[in-house]
Amino acid sequence: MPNYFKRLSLSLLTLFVISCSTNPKQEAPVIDINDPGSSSSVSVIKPRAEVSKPIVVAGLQQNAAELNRKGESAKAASILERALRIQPRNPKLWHELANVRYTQERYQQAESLALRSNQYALRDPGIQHANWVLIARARQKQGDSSGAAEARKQVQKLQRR
Amino acid sequence: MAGKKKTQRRRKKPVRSRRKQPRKKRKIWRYILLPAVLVFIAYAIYLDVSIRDRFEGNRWEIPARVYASPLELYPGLALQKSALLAELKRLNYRRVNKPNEPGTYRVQGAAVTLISRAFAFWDGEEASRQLRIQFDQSGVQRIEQLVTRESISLARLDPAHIASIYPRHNEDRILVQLKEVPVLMQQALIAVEDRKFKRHPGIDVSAIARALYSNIKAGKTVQGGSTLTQQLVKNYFLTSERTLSRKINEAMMAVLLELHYDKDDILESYLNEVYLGQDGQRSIHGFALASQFYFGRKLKHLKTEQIALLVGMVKGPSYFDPRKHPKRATRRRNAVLDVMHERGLLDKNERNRFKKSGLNVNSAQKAALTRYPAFLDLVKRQLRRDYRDEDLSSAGLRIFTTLRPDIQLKTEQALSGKLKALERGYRLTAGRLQGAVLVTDINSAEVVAVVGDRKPRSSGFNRALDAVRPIGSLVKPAVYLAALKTQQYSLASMLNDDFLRVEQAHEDKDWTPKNYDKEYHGQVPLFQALAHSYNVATVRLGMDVGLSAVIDMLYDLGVRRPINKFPSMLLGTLALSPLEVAQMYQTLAASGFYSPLRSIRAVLDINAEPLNRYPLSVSQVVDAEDSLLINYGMHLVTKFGTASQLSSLLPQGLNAAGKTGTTDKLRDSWFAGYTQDYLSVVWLGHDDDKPTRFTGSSGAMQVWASLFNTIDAQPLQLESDDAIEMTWIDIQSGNRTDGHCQNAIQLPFRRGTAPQQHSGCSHNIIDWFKKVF
Repeated sequence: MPNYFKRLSLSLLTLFVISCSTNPKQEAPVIDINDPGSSSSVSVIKPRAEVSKPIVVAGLQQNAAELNRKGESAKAASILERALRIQPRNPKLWHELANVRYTQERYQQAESLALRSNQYALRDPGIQHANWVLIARARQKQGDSSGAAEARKQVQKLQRR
Repeated sequence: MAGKKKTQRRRKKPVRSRRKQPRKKRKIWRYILLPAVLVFIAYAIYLDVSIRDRFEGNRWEIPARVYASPLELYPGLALQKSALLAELKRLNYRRVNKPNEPGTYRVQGAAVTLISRAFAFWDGEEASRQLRIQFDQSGVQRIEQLVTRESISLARLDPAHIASIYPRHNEDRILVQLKEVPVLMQQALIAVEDRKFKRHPGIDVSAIARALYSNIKAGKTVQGGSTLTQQLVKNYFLTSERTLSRKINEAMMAVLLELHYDKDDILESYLNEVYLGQDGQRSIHGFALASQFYFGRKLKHLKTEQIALLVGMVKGPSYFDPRKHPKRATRRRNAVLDVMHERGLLDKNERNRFKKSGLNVNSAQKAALTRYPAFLDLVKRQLRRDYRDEDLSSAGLRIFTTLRPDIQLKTEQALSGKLKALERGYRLTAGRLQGAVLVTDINSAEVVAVVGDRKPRSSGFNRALDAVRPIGSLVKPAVYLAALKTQQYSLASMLNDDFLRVEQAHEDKDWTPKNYDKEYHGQVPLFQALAHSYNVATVRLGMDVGLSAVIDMLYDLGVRRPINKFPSMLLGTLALSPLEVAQMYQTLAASGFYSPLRSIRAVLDINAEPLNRYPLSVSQVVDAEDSLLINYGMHLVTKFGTASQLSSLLPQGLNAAGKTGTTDKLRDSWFAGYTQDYLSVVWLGHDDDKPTRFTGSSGAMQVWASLFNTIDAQPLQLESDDAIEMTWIDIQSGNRTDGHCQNAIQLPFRRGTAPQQHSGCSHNIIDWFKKVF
């Protein structure tokens, strides 16, 4: 029974992420520091367009979500890792991997992966929010109450935005 | 009465004696013979079990298959057609006019049509597919299903099979089946070593008698009477002991072995097991491995005279070593050719012709069995580190590694090309300079290429893993990061680079660190001290922050070796291997997230079930802001610091971050650097510690730049949220200044920590005149 609720709440969490990320609220200011701005700096080539990659990994993401729902979390993690090799800066993939680790009760990993996801989610407050929710719960599970409180503050900060 | 008694006695006597004798016999039987027979039977059973165990264990061992990283194909992938064709070649796909079965392909202009092979990966099955891959200038443009023309978003090819290994053994092995061994080799072996092999029961009594006679006549051992079966047994329990009991044991085991197995089984095991030489720590067992080791070719490609040499070497692999004693080896080979002629295996002309040929032994003594010995060395070590021994001993494992053969090849080329150029340019003895390179995929912490020798196929000393050398200035980012972490310092904090005297508790003399240019630079902003690798400012900073804080930072970044708490540590007296340096820089490159570098993705057992591994740990050891600041600082190293030459060496706009390292008397030349996706660490030096005559930037960095010109690297991108603010700083005073000043540079700061003091444009009158006129 508790497992059922855990899964249910996690799928709700995932839904929340999807809804937020497709409908972003006001974006956090992002500083791009690629050009030192000195007169000697060279022109910066733009990184390769990654337009098609979300489509490429979408199938894998779906596959992983299904497996995780069926309780095959190890396989789901392998598939997410594969997707991350193709698109390493996709915060959703990192977040989902954090979720899988949470269902596996590997809370320290869940926390670290959600923090990692945040580094790529500067333009996506929706995912940041979902990450901090997960971080708060993972820290609580590890007995880190003050850390969990810290994470909940971040959640509130993002909700106020 | 007396007569009666007499007769009774007389009568009784024979009866008594008749009765007594069987009782005596029975006693002997009961107390001596029976136990002896029982002990003998028990002993025979023991021998039988142990020899069968040994025989079966070695005979049925199936090697683990090792695979490289598979190629993922999807639209938008920056992969040129030529790179796909190179991969197909590695996978042994055949080029045909009309692809009709898995493993075939066709090239039509800018498109490649192929039928992929089905493959069971650790995360699922990949079915065979008919694909048409369309290329444009930037790479893969579109992938479609050949018949339906339906667009495909992702396809994975089967991975390249890079090696077969025996994870439990330290040594390389190649096991062959009897049918793979040339018949001539089998016949020659029997002719020379054991003529009655096909007929005897494990021992050859007449051969033993003959040998005994010769040996007594000569007064020493000149001839052995061992059959192939006895030799095989001896090989299983290799000892130099030559006692009688040993011989009897061998003989008994030989007979027992023959009772259980037929001649072909025994011959096959013999061919795989016999000791044929030594390569440093590595024993050469079996004809197939010996064939690779001495001739660099497969058994089936051996020439007759080479077969004769190997067969001859069985008698004494070190005594007849063709590399050390070519004359002796030639005499022995010719003796074998004579025997082969005698037995009708060769005619006279053939024999004479073969006798005249040279030994043709491969000169590269350490030729490895695989194309990637340094990488496989890492795989073997990580297997033992991450998996349980008992799991590794099961047969038929499949090991999926992180090797990228394309990047590996480019790394090998970059190293060997630059080493030659450096030897020419600095007039060093050709062929002596050595190097090691590791490349990692930053996001996954996967090791994608390892080179441990200038001859990448050499299986000797693996410098990438085992050359533990002082790291010099590569240690500095840890010092600066420890300072930034205190939040007492920012990139613009002013550091003192004037004369410094450090008292040393463990030595009489004080230490006065010097800069590489032998000058002192007064007050310098922190980012400048890092960019130009100023020693004195770094030592003062490290002492101020505290040696313990710096050492803790090194441990956080992933160093796992005891570090001495001496001030000289701040300038990199700490010695690490290139792999350990890669681990440390991996954490920096991955924005402060520590993950152990790995070379194995998964290991599947014979039922395609993944083996349990010790869990991996990922943890954030540096916070996002500090990580951004140090990465920015290291980016500036490549912009105007010790690595500024990179601007001209790399494709325009390929932003990078890195650090050069040079040790005392130019003994070690290091560079560790990364872009968005790949990190590489390069070490160059001499094995005997002789100076190289070049620095980190004129040596190792040249290899790094050559590599990053050929791999598809993405420029380093640093992003942050509002916890960081960008401020214009005067590059000399470290004060806030205006963006239009010539000496202004924009630097990141933790919000609220940027300097408050404002300076106008420094020496801007002259600059203004320069600009105007």
